[in-house]
Amino acid sequence: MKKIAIVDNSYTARFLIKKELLKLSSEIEFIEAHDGSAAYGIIKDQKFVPDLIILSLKLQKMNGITLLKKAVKNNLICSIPVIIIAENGEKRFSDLLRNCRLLGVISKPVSSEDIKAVTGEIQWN
Amino acid sequence: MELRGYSNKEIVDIILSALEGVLGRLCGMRIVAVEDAEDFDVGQRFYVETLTPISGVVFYEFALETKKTIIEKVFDDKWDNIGRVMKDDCFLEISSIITEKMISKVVRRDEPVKTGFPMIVFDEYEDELEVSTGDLFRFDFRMGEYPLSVILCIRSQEMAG
Repeated sequence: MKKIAIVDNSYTARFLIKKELLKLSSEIEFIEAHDGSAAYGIIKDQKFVPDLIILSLKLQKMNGITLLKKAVKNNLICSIPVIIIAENGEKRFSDLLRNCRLLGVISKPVSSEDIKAVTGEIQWN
Repeated sequence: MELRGYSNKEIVDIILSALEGVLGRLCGMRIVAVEDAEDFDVGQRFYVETLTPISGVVFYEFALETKKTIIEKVFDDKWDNIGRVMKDDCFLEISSIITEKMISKVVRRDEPVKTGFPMIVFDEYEDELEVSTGDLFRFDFRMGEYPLSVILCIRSQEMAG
């Protein structure tokens, strides 16, 4: 059973991401966070240690970049693969790439093909 | 239309491409631009403020039948089974994605695109918002047989043409 954390303000976005992930595997346990602060709480708490984090950058309370930097600084996220959801500007994340396991940047609406393409290291079936 | 370096047709193509990338993909329906579109009942309007590199506002208007089709395709469920909050969230999210796709098509690759959080236009604020945004440029489309409109207001832009 894979554990995946989905961080996005929008219920619809999280619903669509889950729908696409379930095309890759039916054995996924999800945890959802609707803002950066809630997501940081989940990461810090470490009761649910995800195998993958799918993180939208545009978040209320704490944006995705701040969340990642804070988690990296506190050694909470270094080994967890992360997919960033953003529309433009992969190069902007080059600093982050060096400090955490950033698998790639994909845009909305997220598709299972996009997820599979950036998660080459993950066995889905 | 004051979007530096772009003709009216190019703007229509940019919006159309963004709509196809979002609504076309989510709903599996063809989207076409329409000239001289007939008026339709709008209900709520949604808007997203664009901040960088283009400052402006993008409004979205969906006919009820368009809304129903989008909701039922996105959630794989009947319109009546979906709560109001989820419907609003869906249109806010869709408006946000379309706007980001549109703006990203007119900026250089890797240039950051900043947009505000999507909002609903409430009646009591509508006039005030329109006045504050200046001239509005309307573009009409059809998703299958269902109408929708995208209304742009560009305040300023800081980008290479």
